[in-house]
Amino acid sequence: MTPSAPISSADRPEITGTQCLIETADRLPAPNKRIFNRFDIVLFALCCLGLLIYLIESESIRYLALRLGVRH
Amino acid sequence: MALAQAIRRSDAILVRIVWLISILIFALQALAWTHLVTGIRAMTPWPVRVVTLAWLVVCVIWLRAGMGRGGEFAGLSLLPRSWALRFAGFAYLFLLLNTLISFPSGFDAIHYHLLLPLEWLRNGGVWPMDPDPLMAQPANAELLSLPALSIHNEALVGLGNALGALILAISVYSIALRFTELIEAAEFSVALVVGLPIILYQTFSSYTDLFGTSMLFAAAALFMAYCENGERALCWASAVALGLSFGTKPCFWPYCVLFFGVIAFVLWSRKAYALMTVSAALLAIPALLWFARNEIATGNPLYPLAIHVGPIALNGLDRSNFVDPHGTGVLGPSLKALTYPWVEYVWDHGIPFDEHRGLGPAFATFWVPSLLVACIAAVQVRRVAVLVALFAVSWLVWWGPLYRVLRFGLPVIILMCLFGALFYKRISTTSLRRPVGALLAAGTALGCLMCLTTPARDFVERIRAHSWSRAVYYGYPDIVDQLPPGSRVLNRVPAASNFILEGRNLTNVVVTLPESAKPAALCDGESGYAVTMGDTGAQDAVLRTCASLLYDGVPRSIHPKITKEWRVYRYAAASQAAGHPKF
Repeated sequence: MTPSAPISSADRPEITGTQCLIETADRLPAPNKRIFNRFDIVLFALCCLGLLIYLIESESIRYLALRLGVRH
Repeated sequence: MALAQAIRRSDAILVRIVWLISILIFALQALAWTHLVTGIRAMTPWPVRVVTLAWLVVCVIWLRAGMGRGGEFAGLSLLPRSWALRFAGFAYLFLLLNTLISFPSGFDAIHYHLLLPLEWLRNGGVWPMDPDPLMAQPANAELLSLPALSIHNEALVGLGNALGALILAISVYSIALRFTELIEAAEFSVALVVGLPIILYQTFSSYTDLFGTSMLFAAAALFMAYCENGERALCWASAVALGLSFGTKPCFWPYCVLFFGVIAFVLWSRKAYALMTVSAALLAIPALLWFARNEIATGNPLYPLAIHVGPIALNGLDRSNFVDPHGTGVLGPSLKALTYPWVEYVWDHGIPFDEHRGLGPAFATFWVPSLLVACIAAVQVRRVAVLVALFAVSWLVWWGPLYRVLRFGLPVIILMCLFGALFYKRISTTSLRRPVGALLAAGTALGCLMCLTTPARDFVERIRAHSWSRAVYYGYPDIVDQLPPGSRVLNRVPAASNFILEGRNLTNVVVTLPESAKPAALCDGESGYAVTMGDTGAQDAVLRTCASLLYDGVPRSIHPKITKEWRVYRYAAASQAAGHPKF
């Protein structure tokens, strides 16, 4: 069996169908890193925006700043 | 093999922990049933201690078996690979140590959730039902405080919830693994969950929301495992876990019905009718004790919830009585509520994160992109569509019937964290993987830092006060701890709960008067002592006529700025007080 060949229940009768799929996924070579597309960039921008809004607007950050003695 | 091993291991650990928790809860419920049916006071400290000891022996046997060769703990690394999980781990460790040297905290915990098990230990069972409707709710989670309270140990009472946090983390890991088949994505999801300030605080408190939520997701994880392996025991464990959640609090009823709806649909489509019937029965068993008690006491098994369906009208309270719309952690009906994860506004000018509130920076960073990715994936993958549908209905339930109380929405929040795994799965194959990981680590670290400020401040104040006593921690007079065991104390301190005035080793018996009681009633009771605080001139004038003043002053406290003047009185007939029942 080659490393990328799928595992079937016939080869390993003790494991279930889903486990066959999982173990096959484990044996597959790691996919090449793809370059992110526009939607990935939008998602990442949303993450950064979310954190930024939190840092600016959150009462929690103001509370933490007060606790740590930071004036603003 | 790493993925298959991770799934197998998480399933094995989860199913064992769920059975262990169930065994303890069923054993304690058996004591309560004995009292309810026969009248024998079985839920007193000694039977509880014996049950706990037997349970601990079972735990040790299981742990030894699990650590052996081929066991689920064999070769398990306790140091997570994710930096976010490492930061969270440090925070949890600090809070655990702080809990072990502190006393119970959290308003609801010391006002309701810990008073109930104290009451049970004194009555020898869960009967008679507490007259306060809010204390008459199902209380599986409160049962977990009994072992620690039976040995008068307050440091350990919150550890039942710590077990709940562990179960929740494993469940989320297991579910996320199945949805993404990527260990890093599952860890991402777990980091989002354990980094939530509300979870961090509830882990070491006696609030019940975390326990109910953890059992809900344990049920989901175990059912998914059953669907893959076909082992009936996994389906039974899933139903029992769902039942434990059902018997935790009425706010979990709609979620449990929803989750069970999905389970029943899958079993029906597989033509597993017998298993579906058994599951429905197992779902009901963990909540049966509370329904039976409430049926006997009020004629309404679902008391304190009033039921008005067609000709059926059972007494109780309307849903609105359970929630103060302006209370802490209750989001408004406007769009402002949707901005809460970013704004985290405060309700009472207090701290913005505790057992009631606070979702933290990591959640604020990832919830929108995660939801977006989940909605897109739902179009392509059927089981993601089921998860998104479950989220949508749960959100509507939380927004409507559950009045947008943040902690009642924990299942909705956890589902959103699960979407985080789908988001990470998408990003993981791109070079954005590292920046996203860095954002998660930074957000989790910041969230944990925020959560540590209050306990760390209290810790420093205790060092400054050169005192580790309970009296200084809560800010009440030392004399309350020195009263003879079994002393009956009349509580006239508005801000202090009865639990606090139980004193060191919980040996006082604290009583209150109804709100409608006239000042003259202060001298009518059988109490040995009375405690007042602040500006209570009228009460003090009455008390001076029938009791002698033992203490008048401002006690030492770790919060000196808000400490007021206290007075402790001793009634003339106080010598009889020590004869009252104690445990």
